[in-house]
Amino acid sequence: MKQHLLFWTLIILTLITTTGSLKAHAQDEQAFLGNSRYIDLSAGVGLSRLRDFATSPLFYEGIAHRYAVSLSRMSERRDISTGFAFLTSNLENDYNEHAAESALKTLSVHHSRLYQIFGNGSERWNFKAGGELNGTANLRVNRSLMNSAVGIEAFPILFGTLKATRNITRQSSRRGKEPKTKSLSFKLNASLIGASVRNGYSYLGIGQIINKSGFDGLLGDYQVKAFGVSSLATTLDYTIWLKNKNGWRFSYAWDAYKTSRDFADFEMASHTFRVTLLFNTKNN
Amino acid sequence: MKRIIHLSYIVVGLLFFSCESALFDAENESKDPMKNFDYLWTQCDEKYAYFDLKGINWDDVKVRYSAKIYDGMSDDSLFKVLGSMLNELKDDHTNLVSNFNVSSYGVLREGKDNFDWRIVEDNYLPRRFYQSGPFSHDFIANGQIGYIRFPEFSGTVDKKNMDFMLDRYKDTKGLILDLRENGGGAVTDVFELLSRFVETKTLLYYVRLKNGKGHNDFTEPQEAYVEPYDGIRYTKPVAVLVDRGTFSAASFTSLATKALPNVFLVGDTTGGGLGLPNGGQLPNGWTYRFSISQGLTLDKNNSFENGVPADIPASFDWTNLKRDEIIDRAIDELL
Repeated sequence: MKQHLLFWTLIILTLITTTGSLKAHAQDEQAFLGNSRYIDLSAGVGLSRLRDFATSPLFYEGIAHRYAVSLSRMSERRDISTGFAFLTSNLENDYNEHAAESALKTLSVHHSRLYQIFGNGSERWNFKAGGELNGTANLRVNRSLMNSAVGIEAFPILFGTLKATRNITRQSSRRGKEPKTKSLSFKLNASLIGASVRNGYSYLGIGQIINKSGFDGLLGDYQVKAFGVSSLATTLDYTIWLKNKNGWRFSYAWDAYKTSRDFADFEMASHTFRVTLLFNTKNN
Repeated sequence: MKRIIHLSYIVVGLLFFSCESALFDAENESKDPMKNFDYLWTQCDEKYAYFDLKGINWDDVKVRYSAKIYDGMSDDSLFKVLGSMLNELKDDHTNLVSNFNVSSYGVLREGKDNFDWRIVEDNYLPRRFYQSGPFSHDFIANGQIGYIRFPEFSGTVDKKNMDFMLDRYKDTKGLILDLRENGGGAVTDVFELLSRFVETKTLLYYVRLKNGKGHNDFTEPQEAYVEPYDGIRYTKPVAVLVDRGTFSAASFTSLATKALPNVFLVGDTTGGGLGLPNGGQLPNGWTYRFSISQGLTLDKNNSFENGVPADIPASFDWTNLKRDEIIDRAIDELL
């Protein structure tokens, strides 16, 4: 139901955005955008895999659906984005005719700030660098693990970010139409400081047997470890800008997490193809 | 330009996959019998909570059971070896689960059989006794005592059910709570029940958790309290009936009664099960669980894992199938 709602929202917004009457000439992407504010609505599908050595040495894999909303501000000199994403998946392991399933829900929030570097470089290239603060939390339910069926972990991470954007707008039009402004960009996030918030040595907490409920009971034995996680994330974006400064973005994103200095490592990776509607809210 | 775009997609895609392989450890799926044996033995060695109390030499267990592992052994044979190894822990919170078998110790059979529900139904309860949620109950001993049978901690102990029962038996001289052959379940029920039998916030027991690889590496003991329910409570004497089949959450309840002055245990020693069982998976996909915590008495003794002793020992006389000697003993105490 929620997927249908998102689908139709995207369709309606597409109709709104493509009926705009503004005209623009083929030109440099950044000059075309000016200093614009966007609401980014994104839906995607991909492959996720995870392994939590605290409960299993086996990988669980499956198709994941990802939905995201963010507010972004883009200009030649800076990109600022704040938003959250929700990923849902049923990851499976079926080895030795022994099937098990881990229902995964992931919520992540982010705030990123990128600023232009090499300002006097090529007109068609734009390089930015900066940082991203990201918090990701997983809820996993794997009933085959009996008393250890529920797994929760969180990873607050500060990333260092590099982004290269290439304006690939055609110089000449086909059939006399104005060419659409297009760009291709690659973004790399590497964790600088990352903490893991995970179960302690025994994986299970004793909250329920000492009559503690709520978060106290659930997370009583959790431990925070600074520098407890390494993470790498990359995104390849292909963006088509419409004449009214709305846009469509097609992306392939990959991210991976691995805990370190932990009692038992946690490993998780996602590959996602996603489509994003960039809905312009303000042009400066 | 198109070629460059396509090429960049391929290069970046390959880069992602190779990064993932470099970042993560290798695949660990394996049907190799020795690898699975080692994995399970090590998990228990580093996390099981009761080696010392039970006097188990786990290294000796490794020597004896690894000798039974051989290349090419069938899954059934491997299961028997690993399941038997876990049964060395003598703990019903320990199981091995495959898609063709489940291992368990069976602590119930270590004691004498002291319960037959049919004897209770035929000789103590009226034909149409009350059933309120998970409880079967009615008046016994000429209406002087309320009898409540609670067969498992189903997580469904309900305030309305409890209110109804305790209000119904408020004029009795005492209550019998029958936990015999109650294998446990949801621990939340323990506190729902006990909150009806206390007048002040009461320290019931302590729990400590494994926090290191050494057999005696534990966290500091943490207190378990129960607070009085803000409503109908029962303050007269309560006899809790127990036997070797009283396990896990039912055993926790039995342990807690030691801190409650108006509640006492009648019957046989319980089956223990004061450890919280932790679940995991082997490289061949089978799953297992075992205890990773200790329940401690108020003087921080962990020996009740071997069974919480009854305050008033009593056992069945199977030559007379019309009497439940344990109920009779409880009635004697309450009247």
